[in-house]
Amino acid sequence: MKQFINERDGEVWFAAVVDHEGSLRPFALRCAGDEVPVGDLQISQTQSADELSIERGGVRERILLTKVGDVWWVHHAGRVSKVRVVERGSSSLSGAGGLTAPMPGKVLTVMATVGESVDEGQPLVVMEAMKMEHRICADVAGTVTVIHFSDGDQVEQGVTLVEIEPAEFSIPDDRV
Amino acid sequence: MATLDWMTEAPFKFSKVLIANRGEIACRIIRACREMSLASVAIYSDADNDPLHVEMADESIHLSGDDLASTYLSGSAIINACRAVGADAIHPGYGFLSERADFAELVEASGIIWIGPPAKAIDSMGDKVRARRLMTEAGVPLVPGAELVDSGDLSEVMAQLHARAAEVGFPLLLKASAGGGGKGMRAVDGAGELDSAYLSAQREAQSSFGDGTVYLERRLISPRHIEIQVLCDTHGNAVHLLERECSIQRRHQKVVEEAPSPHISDLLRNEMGAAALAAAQSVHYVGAGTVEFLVVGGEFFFLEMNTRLQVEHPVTEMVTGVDLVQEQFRIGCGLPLTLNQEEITPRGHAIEVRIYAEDAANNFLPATGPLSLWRPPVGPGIRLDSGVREGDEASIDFDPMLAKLVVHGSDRVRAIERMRGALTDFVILGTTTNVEFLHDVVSHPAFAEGDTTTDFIEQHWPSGWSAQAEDSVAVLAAASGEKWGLYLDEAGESSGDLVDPYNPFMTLSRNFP
Repeated sequence: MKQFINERDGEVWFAAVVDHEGSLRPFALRCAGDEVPVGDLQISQTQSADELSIERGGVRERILLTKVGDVWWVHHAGRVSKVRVVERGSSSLSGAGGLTAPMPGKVLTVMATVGESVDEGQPLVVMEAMKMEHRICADVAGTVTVIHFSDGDQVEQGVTLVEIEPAEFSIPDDRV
Repeated sequence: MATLDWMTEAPFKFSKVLIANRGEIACRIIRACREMSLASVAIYSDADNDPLHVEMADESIHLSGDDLASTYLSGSAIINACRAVGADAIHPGYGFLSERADFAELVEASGIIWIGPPAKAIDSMGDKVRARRLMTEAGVPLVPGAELVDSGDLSEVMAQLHARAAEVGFPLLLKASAGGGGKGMRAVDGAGELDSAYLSAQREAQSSFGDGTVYLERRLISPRHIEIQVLCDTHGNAVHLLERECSIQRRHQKVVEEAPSPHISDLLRNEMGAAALAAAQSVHYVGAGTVEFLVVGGEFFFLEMNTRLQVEHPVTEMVTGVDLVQEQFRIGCGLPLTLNQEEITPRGHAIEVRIYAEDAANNFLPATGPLSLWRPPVGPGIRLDSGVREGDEASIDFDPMLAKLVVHGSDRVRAIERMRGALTDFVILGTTTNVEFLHDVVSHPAFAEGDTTTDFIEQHWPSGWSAQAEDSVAVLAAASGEKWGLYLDEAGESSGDLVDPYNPFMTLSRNFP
């Protein structure tokens, strides 16, 4: 699971966004463990890779962003934020891992199946990297929609291993 | 080589200008060269990494050496560079060698045209104690102060110090005669602090400037810093180009400048203009120069004369319509001024802010990093004098000033609105800059009131400035960037470029890590 650290005050954020007709919508946003209300908000890509469009209450705003190392520099409404991305548990055997490979390595066991309902924190994949085992756990409760690898596959750092459709979020009918 | 049309009547012709500077001012001078059909030559050192001024100039020449003393501050290296490329004029910009009388002399002795004042004028104004004496003779009002006579006997000098301090009055400033930039300067609130302040100011002056002469000056409370731009030609003609208000400073460095000043009357403007011209003419000044004053109430006092083009010259250009660098070139080849004092009136209002790579939330410490995204604002009445472009690096090798953003509006209220909008639109990512701080300065109610004094920043942010942003939006943007993979991979290609929002496959739940 990815965590976001606001460099200004060191607050730790959890943010999950999901596809909705090509845009992204937040379905979970927590700061220091507390739920942060976001209301009706939608983020879209633009023609430019360093620009996003955010829409809320029918108003569109422009965001410019770029990643330098692990830090996202975000410009919104004349203000610049630096948000550091951290893979939680990426370097430890115990605890949850992200749904992406924390480092290059080998998939040892896939513990989930497509269509399975999983709970938050349930182990989905066990990986071996740097001679250590890493368990990749569900970051939300939901349904497993895609498993990208099988036992024994070599994976690159950062690739997505498993995808989950969160339980609280209904899938629109017109979705391709 | 054929003489340029505009130079036909000039006694001292030149055609190729070496710019002994870098950064935004080098770029600005190169633009003027281009408009006047002069060839331009840039210099650069190993510390420069593919700089913009080299890209803009017609030619460039590398100065070898690993420090400033052997490159941008080496008069002989620069003269040799002129000879190597056949440059017949030197423009020093500001900083570096621009106010070194010995360099001006060396240039003139080498038969190269110096786009600056005569060495003697630089010298006279560079020594603060001498300048004060000259100003007294010229009838220019001075901040009340006193000199010390160094008798060689320390206890006698200390007795003098106390006697003079009592005459000048507290609070006062001890200043290094050869000083500048706050070095060798001490604020003294009472007689008890005098001895130690004097000794440390003198030590600092000696080690910084090789001259330990210190003098006393009354410290004015909440003064405004207002300066007058002058232009003087080689024929004895001189005009002033009104004032610039430069009160907002941090650590004795200007941050925001504007013209005209929001708080001086036409009468005071005329008096200050006349005093500035008297000051310039007392040293037989030639070229563009600036006479700085401190203003308290309706009174003004000579502070110093800067014998060069100033960083903040664009605000004067915006309100007078005069291109000061082009005027410098005309004066440099001996042409008479074509400006009349009566014709010089302010049109609208201009504000300049200095964009620094620094952390305003952390005591204005210099910041470094890549200028990964550099998207300056555009629109009517917006001017950017920049020395960098996207992809450049803010390094510690040179001054942290990246650019100057200047706006012009029909009046001060509109100029402020325009500046607020321009700063909101200015996107710089990858390096921390003072853009948001500047926005908060020009948005402050006290700024709108024109209540700008030299202690503006300390007064309004006594415990320091801090940034504000909508954190939840920033985090969601970062999460979206992660989800879509909108960043450069190791091959330097953005995977985000592959993501076409109109591609129907995008709506598949594909994740780009």
